[in-house]
Amino acid sequence: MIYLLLDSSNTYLSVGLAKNNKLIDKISYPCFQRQSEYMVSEIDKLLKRNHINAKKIDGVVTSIGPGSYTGIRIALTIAKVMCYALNIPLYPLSTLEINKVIGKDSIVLFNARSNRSYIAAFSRSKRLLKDQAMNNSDVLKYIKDHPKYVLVGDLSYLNLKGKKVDVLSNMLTLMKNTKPVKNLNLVKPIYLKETY
Amino acid sequence: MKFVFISKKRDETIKLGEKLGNCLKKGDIVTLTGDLGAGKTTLVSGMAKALKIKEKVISPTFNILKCYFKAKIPLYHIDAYRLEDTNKDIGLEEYIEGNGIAVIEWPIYIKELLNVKHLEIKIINKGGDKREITFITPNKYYENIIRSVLK
Repeated sequence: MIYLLLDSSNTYLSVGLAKNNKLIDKISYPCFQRQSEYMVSEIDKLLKRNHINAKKIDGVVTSIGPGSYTGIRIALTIAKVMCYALNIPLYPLSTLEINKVIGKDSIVLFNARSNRSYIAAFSRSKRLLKDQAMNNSDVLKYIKDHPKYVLVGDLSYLNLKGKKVDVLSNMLTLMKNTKPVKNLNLVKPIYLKETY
Repeated sequence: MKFVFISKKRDETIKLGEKLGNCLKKGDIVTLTGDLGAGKTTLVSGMAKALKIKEKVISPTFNILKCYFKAKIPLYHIDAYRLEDTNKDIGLEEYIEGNGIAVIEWPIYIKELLNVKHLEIKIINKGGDKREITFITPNKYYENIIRSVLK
């Protein structure tokens, strides 16, 4: 089975190719605010250099937010188009969850701007905090209340250090417990800050 | 702090924009207020010149946002005119608090996003090519920028 993995939710552009449950190749680099210009050509490059025809892909795995307003729409839009055109399943994953440290207690954070963060927390076995946008003062309190948790994300905006994880291999692991969407047309990006 | 600059012709407005562009850093925010034809975009084109942007600067009234990445520092040019009464979050914070300089026309329509320190510029058409350009900021950081622009 061949799966394509996509993420453009935040500062990175990441494209991965998995075959028989193994990540066989990937392209991943910082590309903030410009992923829309490059993602399609990077997918093409990845498929070509692995001699895989797009028609051989069995499914697309993509993050759907929360994250950058445009960023979360790029990977999802490309994923939807491919799944629609190839008639293959789409596996949507939470951007916060794909950044957790699997097998450890972790708090995942991204800068949501306007003094807020996107946050979720996971224990080894279950989710402790659902994906949400939270004021940074509450975020700092939450971190203080969970001293043993690993922090993940680029946390320079909070003057903290966060761990960086291999998002693509996490996606591959997490898709195994994810059901494909029933109706492609109904999948929406999760932005969590619709109005101000 | 408030400072008024009188520009007698278009070239002087561009020069002023250029000086301003040379004094700004990543993360800086400038708002521009003035009627149609006041010279907001002209001032931005001067800033773009300082940032070594080759593309022609046009007002992003339709697009709302135009990014100039091929620059010494990325320039985000926002025109919030079409966002009046929408209150819809379309991610402009990522540009206002982004990796470059943000210039915002019609800031009144996204004032909820501007609770951050910024430099306010007002342009008034005084007839002919004459323009009154006012710099306003309550903030020390931007005061220093105004001082170096006027040097």
